[in-house]
Amino acid sequence: MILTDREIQKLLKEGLISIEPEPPIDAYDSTAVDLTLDPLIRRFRTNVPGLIIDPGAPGYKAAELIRSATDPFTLTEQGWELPRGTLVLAWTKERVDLNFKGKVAARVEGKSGLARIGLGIHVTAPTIHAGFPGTIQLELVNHGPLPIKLRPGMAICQLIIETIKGTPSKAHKSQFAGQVAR
Amino acid sequence: MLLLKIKTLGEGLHPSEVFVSVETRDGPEQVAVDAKALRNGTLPIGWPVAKTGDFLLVELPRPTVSGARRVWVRKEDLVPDKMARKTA
Repeated sequence: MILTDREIQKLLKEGLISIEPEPPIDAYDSTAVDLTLDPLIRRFRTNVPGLIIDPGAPGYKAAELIRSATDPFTLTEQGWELPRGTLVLAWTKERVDLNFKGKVAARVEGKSGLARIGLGIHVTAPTIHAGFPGTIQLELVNHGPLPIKLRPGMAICQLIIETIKGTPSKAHKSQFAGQVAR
Repeated sequence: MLLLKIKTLGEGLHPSEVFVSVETRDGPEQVAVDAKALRNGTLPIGWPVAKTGDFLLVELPRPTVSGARRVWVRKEDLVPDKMARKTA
């Protein structure tokens, strides 16, 4: 069940989930809360001769490849134009903690105003699992016909928070809990 | 709650992330985790979800670079979260 703005604010107030910095009241709509763009993005190098990504290869390590094939770039207040047909990695400014006590999971989704100009904010991986702590990584793609200017702090995505039914195994003190080093 | 011993490898792709290595039954796995979640060389992982022999199955907060979310780890690499126990 999707939480309303009031239910999200209630969980935040009770400390059962956290979003830091806490979004202002105008960042909410009835069933979501907007998150904003962190200044640091990573841009893929396009001039690496012979580099082909081979995710099925034995020992493939996505993070190492991304690190070697991208450069960090800090957005200034003047912004930066994301060319059409281009993917960059980005993060939310806000750190989200979906503590198990809150019994929620979430989905990060785009904003309709950005979608209409062709800006996708994730590539088929929208789930924020229960228990997740951290900033949310985004995969920004300009699917539109024109460059799109990215500015730090712009409302870049929306977080839709849903209740989960039951307690996940990892949040349930199991019969194996006593079998660890002390 | 339990803490999993990890080895810090270095900065992640973003300043909020750290790359760590986790020793699993099938060898070391790398995972980018929230830097603020680390506690003195350990990572909170909740409770184990299964056991076989000397290994316990735990769910990491994020998938490893090879895509695994649940990994088998030696029980010696898990320690109780004393702070959580005090505040429980």
